[in-house]
Amino acid sequence: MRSALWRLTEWYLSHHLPPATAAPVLGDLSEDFARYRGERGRVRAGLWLVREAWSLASVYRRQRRLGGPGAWGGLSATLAEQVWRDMRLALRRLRATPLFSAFAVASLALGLGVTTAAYSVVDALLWQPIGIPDAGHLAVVTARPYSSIGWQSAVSEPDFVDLRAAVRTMPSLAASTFEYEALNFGEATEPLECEAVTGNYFETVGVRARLGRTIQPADERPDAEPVLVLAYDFWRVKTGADEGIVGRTVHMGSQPVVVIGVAAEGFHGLQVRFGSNADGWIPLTVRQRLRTVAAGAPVEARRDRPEMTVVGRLTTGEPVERVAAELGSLGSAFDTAVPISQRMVAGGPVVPSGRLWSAEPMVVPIARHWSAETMAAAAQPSTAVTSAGAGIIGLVGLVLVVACTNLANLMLGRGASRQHECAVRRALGASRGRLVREQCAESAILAMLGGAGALLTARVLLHAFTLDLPVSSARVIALEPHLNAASMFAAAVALLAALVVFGLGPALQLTAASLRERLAGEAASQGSVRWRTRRSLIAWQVTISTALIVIAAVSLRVVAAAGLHDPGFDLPHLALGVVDIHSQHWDEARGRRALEAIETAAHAERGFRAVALSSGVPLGLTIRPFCQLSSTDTPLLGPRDGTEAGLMVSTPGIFETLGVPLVRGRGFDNHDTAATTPVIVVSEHVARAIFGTTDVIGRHVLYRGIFTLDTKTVKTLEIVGVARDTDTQVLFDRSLGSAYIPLAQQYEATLVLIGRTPGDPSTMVKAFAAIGRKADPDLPIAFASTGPLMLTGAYVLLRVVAWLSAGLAGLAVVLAMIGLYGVLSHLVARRTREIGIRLALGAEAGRIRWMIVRDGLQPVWAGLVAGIGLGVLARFVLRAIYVGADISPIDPFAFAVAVATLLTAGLVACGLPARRACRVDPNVALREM
Amino acid sequence: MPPLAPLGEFEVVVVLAVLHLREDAFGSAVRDEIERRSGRAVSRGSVYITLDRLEEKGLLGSRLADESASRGGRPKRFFRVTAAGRRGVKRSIAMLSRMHRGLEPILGEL
Repeated sequence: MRSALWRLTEWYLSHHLPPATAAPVLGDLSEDFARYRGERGRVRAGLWLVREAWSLASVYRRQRRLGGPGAWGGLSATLAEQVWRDMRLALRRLRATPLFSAFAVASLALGLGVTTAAYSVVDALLWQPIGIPDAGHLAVVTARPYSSIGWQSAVSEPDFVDLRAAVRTMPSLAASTFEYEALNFGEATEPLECEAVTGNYFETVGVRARLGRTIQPADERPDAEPVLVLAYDFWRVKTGADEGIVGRTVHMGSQPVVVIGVAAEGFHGLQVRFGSNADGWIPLTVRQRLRTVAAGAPVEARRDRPEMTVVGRLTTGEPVERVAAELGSLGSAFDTAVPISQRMVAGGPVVPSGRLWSAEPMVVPIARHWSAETMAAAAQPSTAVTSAGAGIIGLVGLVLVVACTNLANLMLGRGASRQHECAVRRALGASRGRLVREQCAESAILAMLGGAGALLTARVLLHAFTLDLPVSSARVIALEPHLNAASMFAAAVALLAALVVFGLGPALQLTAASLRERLAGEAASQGSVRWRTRRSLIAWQVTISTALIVIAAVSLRVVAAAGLHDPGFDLPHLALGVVDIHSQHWDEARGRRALEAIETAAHAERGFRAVALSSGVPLGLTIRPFCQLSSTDTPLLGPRDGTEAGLMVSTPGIFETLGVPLVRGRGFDNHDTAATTPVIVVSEHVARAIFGTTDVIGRHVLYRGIFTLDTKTVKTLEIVGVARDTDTQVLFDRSLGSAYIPLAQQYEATLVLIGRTPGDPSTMVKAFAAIGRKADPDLPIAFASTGPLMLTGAYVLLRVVAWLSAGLAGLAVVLAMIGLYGVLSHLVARRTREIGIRLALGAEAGRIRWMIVRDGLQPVWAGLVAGIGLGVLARFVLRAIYVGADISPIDPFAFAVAVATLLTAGLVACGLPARRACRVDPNVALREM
Repeated sequence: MPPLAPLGEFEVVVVLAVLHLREDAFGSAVRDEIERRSGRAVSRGSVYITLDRLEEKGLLGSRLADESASRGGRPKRFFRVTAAGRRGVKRSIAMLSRMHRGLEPILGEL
């Protein structure tokens, strides 16, 4: 009988029934409940009881409200009931002003939803986790100043061995170096970018195996079985998440290795954020073995080649600064004990005679400027990424400001119209708490509706942005943005603050002193104060919106420019694939045979207009060889001498394939062989830089390769042609020229197979694999893709960011228009009485309309001027940040868009209510007093 | 005796139900009686409220009794119709029948 449900019902009804009636009514109910339970069972009786109790309570509640017989005064309404009542009242009031409600909810939903989604996408895009747990306590050894590669590769292998023994502040050191291998498992050969690591690497970095085990110190023994750990992504994509891969023997080059495990998800090695994620890990000893096999004899590690990235765990309480200090002094000690130097060797078949040319090797001592910083600090995203991210977050913030201003203005406008009502109710005895509570209820309902709308908006947007995105050279990453709770919370707090602070104003301001004024109507003085505040708010809102439009136009221009830009070669029609002979460790003769076979196979393939092999392509790919060039009377001694140029060691078809026309002279052909005079074709930029003219056919230049197989020999080459300039390094950048050298005269082992197609190159990308197989089954053609994707990959990211910001800007414009319309129309509508008086006194309707529009647009004008000023300032700042991008501070197009949209919103917002107001009969307007 | 306002329809129904139940007219029983005779579902709350109102008007009187354990020690509230109640209900019915008189060709006999 005394079930929990019954006790709950008892408690509930005792709060709703008059005390005198409660006992017999509850008695009746309990008797009926017992009978009902006997007849119908527990569950149905329970349901019946709930229904009965609810109906009883609601009847008595209604009775009490009506104050009729049976009502009682002793018991006050419960809190829940008060809230319920407030909510219902608020809902009714919101329904009565649908336009206001819709504007407020839209502002909240869009402001909160879109900003959060945009932030989440940027978060997923730019700040992907590095997959290293506790990176704050992992120290990485750096050599200051950073080399061009970054903070990695600071220490040479012999130095690492000595350093490991010498260092005191860290218990153990681990090292890794990057290695590029071809991995053959059964039927397929895949290129594998891997890290060769010490046995304690995984333990030091703190990464576990997802499957099988990681590399252990025992794997480092010379007699140990060669092992390989795969990266999670490689395992998932290339093996189809085959768990049976663990324990299988695969081949690297010709060497068998055993796959012992798969590393934890999200870990891509220490080369984080440099575009080269590790696909796998091998012990350093395995790398040594692979090199020995390739070279035919043990390869001695060199002290002057810093190629190891060295990391160590910080012991508890040990600051990284002390480690850095110790490493600094160890570096100096090493310099004294085992000095290293860089030798600049003159040589090659043709030794030019120059005044400064010495027969002795030039020796430049290198100092080891070792230091240390935490992995968390070292792996900070690059400045370009950070500034792009900061840009987006700035935009998100601006949109949020617009949304908040919108809400604040709407609430202020509504509050102003409610002052009179509040004053009347206060005078009639309503407590201030009651008025505030009602206002809160209204804000709460708006917040709930807006919040639901925001969640929906964010979900839809995040779903749209869950896609495979080609970023950086030759890699596609799966973009899976998740709702960023922190940003949603921050945005929600900002919007709610605007909602509550500006919404509560009128209810809170009603002190006894102000009551009479308010009751007397909108006293002139009060009204003007309110109008001034709101006017400044409108101006502020227009300022922000205008500035935002002007800033966002920059992003739009970048997008448009990237789409319309001519890079100087036929980028849209190129299909590209990397031919990597280097990782096969073949000698030159074997490599040349393979290259020849590939070229023949590619020529035989239908669908290509032209085909070429080249060591590089204008915008770079996985490899970017350079060269130093100078006139014969300026010798190339140090690494900074001469003119730097992008280098393309290529087959004769390169000019036709890239679509680069020759301005003067000829391109090289099959007659330029190893036996004939070494020749070079330079771009106009290079010709001008060295000789000051493009009329340079037949002249000689000194040449040395950078990032090529031979980086020592200085050669003298004859210029046979001048090619038109192209973009090098990145799109839009022509600060560097190009040099073309025949492959027949200089051998390179990492090449790009380029095919030019008449139409869409993506259809021909598949042919590359077939070409590779046909030419040489051992040789994979890696990263085959189309030119636009591979060469402008970084710009894909920029484009996403630009589209995002354009979307945000569009949203801000819409929000600004909505807000401006909402507030202005509301304010103008409230001048109905004034208009009535003016009309009654004989004013012409046309003149009044003009006055209303003029007054209403005043803050809009002010905001437009201020906003354009702000936007121009921001563009100056942007120009300083994004060097190279063509950002002009004065942008008439953006100014026009801003002025047109906001002025239209303003005109409509003022014009419509003004017309309505002028049609009002003056008598009606006056009677409202 | 002050002139009585005519009773509402539901009030008449409740007074009649109490009369039918004689000595056994308490809340639940009144409701059951109404539902049984009228064939219409009636909310418990409205029955109690009407009983309260009729008592306040002096048409019903009540006493508390029978605090049995099956009711959790809570008393039953037995109602009876007062003389005023009898008069009131008679007048209401009479008024209705007077209004009905002459309408037999349209409404038929009751």
